[in-house]
Amino acid sequence: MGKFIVRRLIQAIFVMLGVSFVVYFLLFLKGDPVSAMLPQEATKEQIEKLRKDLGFNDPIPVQYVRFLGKAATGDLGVSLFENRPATDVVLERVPATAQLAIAAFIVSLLIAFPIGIISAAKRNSIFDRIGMLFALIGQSIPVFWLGILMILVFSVNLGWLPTSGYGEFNNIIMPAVALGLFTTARTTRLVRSTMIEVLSQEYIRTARAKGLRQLTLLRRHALKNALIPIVTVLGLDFATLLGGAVITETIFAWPGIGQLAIQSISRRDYPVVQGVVLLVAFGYVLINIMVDLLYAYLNPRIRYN
Amino acid sequence: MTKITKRSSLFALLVLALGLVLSACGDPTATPAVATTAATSATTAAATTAAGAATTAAGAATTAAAGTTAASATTAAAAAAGGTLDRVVIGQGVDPTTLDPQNHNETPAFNILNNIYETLVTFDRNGKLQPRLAESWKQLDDLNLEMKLRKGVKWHDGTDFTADDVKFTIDRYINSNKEPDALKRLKRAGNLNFVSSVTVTDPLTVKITTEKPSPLLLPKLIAEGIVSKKFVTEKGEQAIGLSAMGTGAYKFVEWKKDNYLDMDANTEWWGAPGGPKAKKVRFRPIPDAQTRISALQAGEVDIIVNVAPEQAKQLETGAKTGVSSVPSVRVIFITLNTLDDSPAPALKNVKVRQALNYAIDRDAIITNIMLGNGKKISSPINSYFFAYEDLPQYNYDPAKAKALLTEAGFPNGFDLELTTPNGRYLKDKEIGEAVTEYWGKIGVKVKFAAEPFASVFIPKVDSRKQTPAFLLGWGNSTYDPDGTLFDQFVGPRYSYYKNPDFNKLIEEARSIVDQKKREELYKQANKILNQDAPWIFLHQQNDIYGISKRIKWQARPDEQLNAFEITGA
Repeated sequence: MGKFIVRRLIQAIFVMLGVSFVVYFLLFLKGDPVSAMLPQEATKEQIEKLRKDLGFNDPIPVQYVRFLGKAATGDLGVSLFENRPATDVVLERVPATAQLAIAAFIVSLLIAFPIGIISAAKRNSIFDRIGMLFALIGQSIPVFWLGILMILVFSVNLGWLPTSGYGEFNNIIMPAVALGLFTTARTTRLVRSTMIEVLSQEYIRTARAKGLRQLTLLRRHALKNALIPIVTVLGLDFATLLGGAVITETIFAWPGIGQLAIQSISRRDYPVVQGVVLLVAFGYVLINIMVDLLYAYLNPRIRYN
Repeated sequence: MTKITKRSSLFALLVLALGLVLSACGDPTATPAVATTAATSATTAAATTAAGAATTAAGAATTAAAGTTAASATTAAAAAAGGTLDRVVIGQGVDPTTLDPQNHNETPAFNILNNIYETLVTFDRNGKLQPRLAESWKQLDDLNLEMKLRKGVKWHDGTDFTADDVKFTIDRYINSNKEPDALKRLKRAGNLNFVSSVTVTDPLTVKITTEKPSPLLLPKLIAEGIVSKKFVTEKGEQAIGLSAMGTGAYKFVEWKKDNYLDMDANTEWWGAPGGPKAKKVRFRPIPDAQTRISALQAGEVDIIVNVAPEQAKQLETGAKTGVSSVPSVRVIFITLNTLDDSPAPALKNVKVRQALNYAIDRDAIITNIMLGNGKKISSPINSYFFAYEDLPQYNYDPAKAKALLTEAGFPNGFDLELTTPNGRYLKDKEIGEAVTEYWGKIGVKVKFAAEPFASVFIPKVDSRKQTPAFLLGWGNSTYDPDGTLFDQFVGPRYSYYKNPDFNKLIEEARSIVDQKKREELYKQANKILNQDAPWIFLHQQNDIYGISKRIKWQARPDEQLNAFEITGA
């Protein structure tokens, strides 16, 4: 087990290196950000001087190595727009994104599991058909459209919830549902199909023949064995949610890292963009490792040696 | 048994996670909070201050009456007549990155801070210079400007506002400009990089000395909020970025970054007896345009910025909403590369440039694309500017355009590349498409592209690799022609036009302080541009704001959002 974790962590370092390489060079294809940092009336000499001061005149590989050396110690440089460490700018947005991700994830679990399981148990019934129609619709509706529609209905027309903002419980309901519904649809279908597969196994027939109650059967025998593929997908879904829901955060004025990414790209604040991308990649890698570890818990037959 | 334990522990985890989300939502310290520092000594010697306020108000009334513009007096009267409001919420696109009035180049930050900090001078709605913290000023000689400061003004912490604070504020820039590391300089320091020193003559008089004659000193001072020497030296540079303490109409209460900023009316403000009419004001960042509209319709906010023309229609017909719109100081135009090495040599010919101007039906563009939210221009200088003159328009005349083109030796037209940003200015891409059509009608074959502004368009403009014709907007809120005519036609960064006679006028006008003489020079320069047509003169675009019917507020051309100008409906 310990060896496995070490191996995965070493792999993770290479993944992070790859990500840093891509994000660094992609941003440089867009040209350096110096002109965006000075007022529009700045002269060519001023621009040139600042470019020199910031080291943008060095060869790009040299700049990249310098960047890596600092990044390894958590120093991503200074935000070009805010004049303070980019790490701070990114990290202070993380709590908002984490709250939204967890809330959306919970919404998604609370809907997907019951519908998926019942649909599988009562396959081809009217409930199954309605459930799957719901999943299809949920998968097809763009998040931004659902978000705007919810604002119109629940804020403008009914006046039940605030349109946007952050800080109170009321504020998180709509963004969590809008964001959660998208992953819900996929999870529902996955729960249903894996449950159907498991329910057709012979040991289920045996269990049923034993006279087990339907609910116990579903919970103890079927669901647990169906969980492995579901957990994989859920893990990736959660990582995606943590990556900041760019559109949802923008629509609902939710101050998370997705919104920050958009703002920083338009301001050409490269250190912050790099920070967001690296953080998201890091989250992905970490959650993947955790999912792998969770397999062993769910299925004791899996060993990592 | 073990299985049950595991399952229930999973369930417990889920509940725990939910609890975490809920508690974090309700937790006021979830984002960096800034506690109030300004809510102090609100009740200092009420009688004295009231008397002082009355005197100041009388003084202000005199100024207004003596003022040259009738409109400013009307505005003041309207403001005095309006009712009070308990609470007003204003929705802008983004939050400030700092509250230090000297360390940002952001309109949203300026809009917030202009309610808390005050500048020495200001512009009224018509672009006329008006006193603010400075009551009067006098140009002593080419290099020295003397300013008499307003008497009896108090900082929100109760101390007196004096000439030392003015010196301290401008010295921060002077020192900052000496800092070798460009990123450590105050972001606004460059705006006053021609100021060499500030001398305190007496507690209410300062003398500002510039390196060379600088006619732009006063117009630049309209954007520079004065900070308290005591506050900054005692609390430190860090604190002034996170909280605010000024002399203005509102006292800073609390800032939750990227969430909201609250301020309370300053009842002892010199500008109005009893303080501004809106008692509590909150600024909120709402990045999405449609969400801003919904927030206004739901009654959550009272003013929103950057409303698109088609959304304006929606708000105009609403029961609780309306719009306020004004031609902004920003002009929209197409720069033509007229230089000798122009990638489109035809543009070197003035007749071709005039033909391209005559070929476009700007009335149709304004009516159909801008939905009425624009105003034609005939030169880079619009009516708000110092030295403005109403010059002949290039009105739509395709026959004349065709004739000019033939005269110039291009009876069959020529090929031309045109680029616009995509979504930076109101309907920029659509305008580009219309222009492509119009030019096609006189035989000019246009290859058109709309590009993302920040990532593609501006880097090309900056590196001077942009197409020979490209659409740009230019907002110059100093209301002084220099910031437009020098930057766009003489300075190295944007100019695709060379005319020694014109350059001489501009260089002379920026090196003297005699405003009468400057006005003459700019009028001549502007006539040259009107004739020579180095631009396609399009329009001033309107700034459109959505407003709630419960408030009364009139949009300003300089994009300022002053809460102290809001009254009850």
